[in-house]
Amino acid sequence: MRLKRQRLLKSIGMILAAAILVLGLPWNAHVSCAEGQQDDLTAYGTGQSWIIDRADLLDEEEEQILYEKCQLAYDTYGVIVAVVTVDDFGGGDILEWQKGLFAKHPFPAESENGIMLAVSMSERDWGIQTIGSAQRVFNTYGREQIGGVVVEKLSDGDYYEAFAEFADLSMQFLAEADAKEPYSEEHPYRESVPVWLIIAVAFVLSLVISTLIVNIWKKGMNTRVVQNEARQYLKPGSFQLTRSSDIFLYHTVSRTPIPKSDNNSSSSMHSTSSGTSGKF
Amino acid sequence: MDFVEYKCPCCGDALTFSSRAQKLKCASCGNEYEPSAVEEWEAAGKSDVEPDLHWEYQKEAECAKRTEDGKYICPSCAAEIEVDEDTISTKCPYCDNVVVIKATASGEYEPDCMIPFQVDASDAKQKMEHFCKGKRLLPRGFKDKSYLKNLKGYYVPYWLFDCEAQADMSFHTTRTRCWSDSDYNYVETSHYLVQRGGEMTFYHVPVDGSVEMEDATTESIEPFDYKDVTAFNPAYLAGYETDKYDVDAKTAEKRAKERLYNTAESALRNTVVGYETVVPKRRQMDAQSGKISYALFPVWLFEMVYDKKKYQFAINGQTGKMVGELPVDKGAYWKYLWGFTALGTILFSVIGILLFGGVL
Repeated sequence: MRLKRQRLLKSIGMILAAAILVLGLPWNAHVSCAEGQQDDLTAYGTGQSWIIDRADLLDEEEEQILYEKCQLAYDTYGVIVAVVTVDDFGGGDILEWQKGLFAKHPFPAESENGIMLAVSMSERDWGIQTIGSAQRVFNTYGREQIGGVVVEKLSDGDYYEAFAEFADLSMQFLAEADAKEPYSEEHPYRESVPVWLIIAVAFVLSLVISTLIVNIWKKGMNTRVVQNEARQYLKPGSFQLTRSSDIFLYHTVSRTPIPKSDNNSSSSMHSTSSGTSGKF
Repeated sequence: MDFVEYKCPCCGDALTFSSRAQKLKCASCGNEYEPSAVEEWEAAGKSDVEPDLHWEYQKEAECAKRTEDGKYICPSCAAEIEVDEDTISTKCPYCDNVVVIKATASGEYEPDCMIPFQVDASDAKQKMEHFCKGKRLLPRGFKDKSYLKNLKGYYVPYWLFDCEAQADMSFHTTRTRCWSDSDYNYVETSHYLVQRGGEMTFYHVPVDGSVEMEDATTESIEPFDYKDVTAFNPAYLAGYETDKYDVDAKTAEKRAKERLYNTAESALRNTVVGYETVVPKRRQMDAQSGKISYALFPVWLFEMVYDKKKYQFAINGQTGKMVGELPVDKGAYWKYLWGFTALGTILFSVIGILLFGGVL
């Protein structure tokens, strides 16, 4: 009886061990995949959001704000504005990877016009890829303007600010192209300054100029100048030098290090006909 | 036994003689000096006080002509006139004749020389009016030109200083040299003791002898053209106000000394060339044949008190040069300041919004 009980327990143990082994294999495999994650394009089906945050750089609230900005762009201009973050896009050209991603239609709408900012954290790659008519709106000049602003914030680790700036700038570029013409070297983009700042600067500038003018007037009311010398009462030709000696005493030497110029720029960018990318 | 101690010109530490280098060496900063250079440096630093100059007065005073009870007799109508002690000339209240009171008290001076007025009252008023024209900050009272009533012709007492001066001055100067290698920029600063001596002759350096006249006013209307200097003649005083000096020559010497020292320093400093910095270290001067003369020079004077402050405006009665200080209406000052600021803020804001606000 005791032997039977021992066999039963042994059998249950073996079954449990086998079950753990069988269940454990795919679990381990999933962990190893997450550690050396390479994003498989097939994993992106038609999605629910313009923001795909695989690298987990944003919290829910930030994602929601960005989603609303991108949704507004799509609703207004019918252009996809999207942000994708991954741990590792798999190497190669990030712009090609983005092109492939666009083809998989991972965003809420299947528009043929769009702009996507992608960030890959493993090699600190970023890329702005465009498709369809968005290539005209976000030409090389435009992508480099947006990229310049975005990469600065990415380098500082301000990911949400970078993505929000990307969405806002995309909206501004779309609006300008819709109202007039796309920003270009001939029609350059200028960052608009807040009105309160313009008024504050105008006030300070006016105050300085006014103070200058009124004080020049005030100074003109007093033309008196104390004469500390009597040079005009020196008889012409009467000055004669009678002694002249220059004695060296000592010298001091100071040195300052020459600052070395740092050419290892980590935020250079290059552009193709439809995209702009670089490192941050 | 006396010990001699020299201090390092660079760091002030004590110097010791190095028998190997045959120089004075500083253990603190490592500099080495020729003994003669250190002696000169020490000598240049010793005299902190600038010596006074010596002057002789031109002539003794003449006694005043007045009655026993201190009044003066008008030479035209023989009336007795009362004047205060500082008055040299005045108008007789009985016959309107200008009475010249030569000298007022024993021990005082009669002027040695003078320059007569050459700018008349109408010219002076015209110049004054022209100067005030367009001055937006003038108080309202100036608009009716009533201020011109306050303009008066006035012989200002001056002391004139003449001398042949010998000046000896030392300067601490520096010269720099710069170079670089692949890692550092270097700056070498060499320090020198520069000594200059010179002779120069000053003629009639004026210092006003009136407490009422501010130095800034009397010095600003300079120079007077000494070609027109004549011996004192009371006839020139007719029609103008004249006061005896109330700043004596001894007091005026201080201002003359300042101006002569500054002129000598400037003249000698101009001969110190090739240095980046020149700082005076010692100034010494001696005046030979120093003479002081007492003179009267013509000035058109305008004075007023505004907001409890005295304002003085003067026109050189010989050359017509105008200087002075006019009162500023504080209300007008702030009105213009804030008015321009408001106008500018609107204008610049509109331009700013058009250019940088994303409108254009």
